[in-house]
Amino acid sequence: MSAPTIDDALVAALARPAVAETAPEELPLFRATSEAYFHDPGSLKKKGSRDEMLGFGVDAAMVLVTPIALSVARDVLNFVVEQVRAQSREHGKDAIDRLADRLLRRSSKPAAQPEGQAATPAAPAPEPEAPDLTKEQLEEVREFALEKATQFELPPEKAELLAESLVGSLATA
Amino acid sequence: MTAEQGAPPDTPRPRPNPFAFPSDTTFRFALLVAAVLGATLYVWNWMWTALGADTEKVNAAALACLAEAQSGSFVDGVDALAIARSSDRFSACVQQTYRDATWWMLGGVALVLAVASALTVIWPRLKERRAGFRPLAAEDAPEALEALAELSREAGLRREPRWVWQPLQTAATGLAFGHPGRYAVGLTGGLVVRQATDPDAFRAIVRHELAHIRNRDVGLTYATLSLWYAFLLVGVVPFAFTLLDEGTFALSVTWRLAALAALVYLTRNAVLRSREIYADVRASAADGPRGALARVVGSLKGRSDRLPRRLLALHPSPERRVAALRDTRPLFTITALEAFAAGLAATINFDSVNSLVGWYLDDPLDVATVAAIVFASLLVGVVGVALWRDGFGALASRTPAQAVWPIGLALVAGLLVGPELSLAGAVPGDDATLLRDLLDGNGLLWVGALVALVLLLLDWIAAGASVWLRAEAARRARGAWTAGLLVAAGALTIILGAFYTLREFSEAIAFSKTLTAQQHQQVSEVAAAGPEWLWQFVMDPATLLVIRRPLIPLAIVLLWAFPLAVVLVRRRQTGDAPWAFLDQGGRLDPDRPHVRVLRPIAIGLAGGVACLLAYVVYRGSIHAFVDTGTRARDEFILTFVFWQIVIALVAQGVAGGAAGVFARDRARLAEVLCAATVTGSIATLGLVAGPFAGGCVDRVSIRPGPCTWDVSADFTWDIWRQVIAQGAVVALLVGLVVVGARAAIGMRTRERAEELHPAGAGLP
Repeated sequence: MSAPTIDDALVAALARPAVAETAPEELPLFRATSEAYFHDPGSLKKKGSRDEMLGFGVDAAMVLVTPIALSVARDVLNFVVEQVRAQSREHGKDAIDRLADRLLRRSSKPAAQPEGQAATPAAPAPEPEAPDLTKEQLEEVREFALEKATQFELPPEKAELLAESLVGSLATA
Repeated sequence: MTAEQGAPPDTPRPRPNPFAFPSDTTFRFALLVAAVLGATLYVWNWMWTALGADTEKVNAAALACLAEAQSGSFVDGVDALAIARSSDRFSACVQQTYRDATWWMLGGVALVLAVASALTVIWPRLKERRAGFRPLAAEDAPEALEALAELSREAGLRREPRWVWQPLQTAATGLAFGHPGRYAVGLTGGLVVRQATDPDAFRAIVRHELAHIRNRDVGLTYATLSLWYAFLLVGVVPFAFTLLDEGTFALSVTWRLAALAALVYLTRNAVLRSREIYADVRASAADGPRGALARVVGSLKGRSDRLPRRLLALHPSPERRVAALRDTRPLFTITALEAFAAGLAATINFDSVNSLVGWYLDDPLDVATVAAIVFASLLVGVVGVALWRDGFGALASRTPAQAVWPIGLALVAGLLVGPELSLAGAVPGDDATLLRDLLDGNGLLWVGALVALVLLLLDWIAAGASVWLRAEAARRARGAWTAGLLVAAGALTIILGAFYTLREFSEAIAFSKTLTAQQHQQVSEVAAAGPEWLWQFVMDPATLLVIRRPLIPLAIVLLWAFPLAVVLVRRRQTGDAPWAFLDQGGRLDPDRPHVRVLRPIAIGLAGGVACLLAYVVYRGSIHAFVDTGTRARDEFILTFVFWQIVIALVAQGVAGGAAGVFARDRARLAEVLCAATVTGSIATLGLVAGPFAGGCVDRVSIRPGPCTWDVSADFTWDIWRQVIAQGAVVALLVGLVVVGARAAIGMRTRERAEELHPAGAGLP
């Protein structure tokens, strides 16, 4: 799959409600965590717990959801963009931007904006509708999100909840 | 009785406090440092030879020294003293030639230390950057920061560490790093979240990391590792360049360096594993052995607890950690493997230090003794501290102390293997190591002597710890263990120094023994001189050269005086000892040690008086039965002195044996040595007073002389040192036989009592 550039604000906007639903206790740390993630998204993959000198030991438990939610949200958005791009012939070239605007408007809360990143301003005038994802497409997204979350060794019930939450955000955007 | 009394049976027993005594792990790190610096000395000595030395000039100077020594040897003839003086002149001449090498060696050490210091400062910064840590700001997690500040105060740290975190780390864990004055604790995002979801677990993990700082693990670990990398950087790398065209020698050096690396790496991991348990134990003091820490540690990912994984791991298995939280007793013991590694680290580069000291001192025994000071002190720091800790652990937990002999044997094994791996051994030479001698079947006696000396010393340390800890009871025995370990370090220094010197000069000693045998044959023609082995033992000049070192009688006196000094503890304090336990309710009420000092002194006095009587009888018999002409001959006088010393040694043996019969506590051999020293001192007095007595009373005179005291102080001092040292050997042998026989009889008596009254017989 190609890796189109997805706006960090968009990723944060999609991940935040998912974190709120899956691990609400992490919301106070969402800003700092997303900032660290956007600074170096690749670092999440190499940050497993290791047997460190003068550390506490190798923790088996996966405690934190936010970085995983951010990573899965980014992958999901890439996936959706691919899907929407296929429909752009029918809905025009701005379909992706309009979808992004809808997502951002829906979850535009101050905490959702990583510092130093300007949110896309809400458009006051009515715009042509962005394409809605079909039920099949949403199911495909859910499967994709679940697979990604599972790859991070998130416990199954949390992975399920995260995937549902992300799809819910997309469906209601 | 010890520990808690009257507690309900289901109440957990208070855990002995492992921080009540210094830890042996600190000395294990120090021993590694000494081994690495020893290797640095060797490397830079080699660098001087390869790069710094003016080969032609050095060769010419060495040849000049040799020529001078050879010309001197014709003049000296077979005069032993003249040969020794000539040998000293030759050594001094050679030392002068190679003096420049010492600057290279010391400069190399200084360079390694400078680079190590720089690395110690830089390393934490690199670690912080590599791990992606960022400062934990108030706007990130204000409540967590508040809790962290409180935990830092609770840990008793003078300065709060820097708190940094890595928000993307999903697991809940922490990491202590930095250096003194700039400690930091790294937290993962998972751990910071736990502050809200599971505050007890959060506190437990943070307490563990703060315990690393409090236990001084951080500075020590990073300093040791920095030193190792500095050695690789400014020792091994330039060294490798000079070895490029050295062929077989390079190969030999490479595997020895690999062995040193393995020793450093495995010891570091072993020490770190034990420091993890210490950090757990300190962290558990706040919430007890069954608090949140045990729960969190128990949930950690388990790893294989089998070799070799176990040797490579930085943390013990969660099961071991949880077990140590409940029972701290294993933290007071030392394993045979640890003792072996300590012995190995002590001797792996002993030769290099020996060489350096050899450029400055002439006497080989002084050289070996000074070189041994560092390693013997650190060895006692590892094994001696462990034995004191074990003595305390046994007392506080009412469990038996660990056996000394496996530790002693493992230590000796390490001492034997170390020289095989030393860098100095890469240069092929004539000197066979003790291990190679043993494998060839020639070194059995040497190894036996080393084993005996080490076992006796370790037993002495354990005995001293046992009697002093019981005497001090609920009081901290800081002064006692400091004094005991200092005496042990001094004794081990002398043992190792004398042992390695005797080994090194075994050929010269063999030559000396040949001369002594000739002397024995010569005097036997004039008077009875006893068996040759006895003559060799008492009269061999090479043996006398070693045993008459002034430090030896001092060490012997301290070895018995220290354990017996417990009688000076008049007011014992028993009962509550909060410092000795991690949990509330711990008590120390041990029985008073059954150590007596007046009894061995009285036995020694009796032995001395008996010896004086024997001297009078001996002198009287000679005066009566040997003609004046024979008595005037030097050979006869020599045998006369010889037999007087033998009488003194026999009296010391008997006195020591008698003291052993009556001694009842763990420090029996101290009473044996005390009695022998008193007897020996009186015997010396009798021996040197003989000519005066003979001058005043004709019936006991050997050679006619004035009734005045004209025995030189030097002669008296020489005889006293000899009698005390040789008498100690005899008394110890007799004492060991007596103590062994008493133990065997005691065992049989107990068995017989068991047979007559089986356990439980007669009970309803």
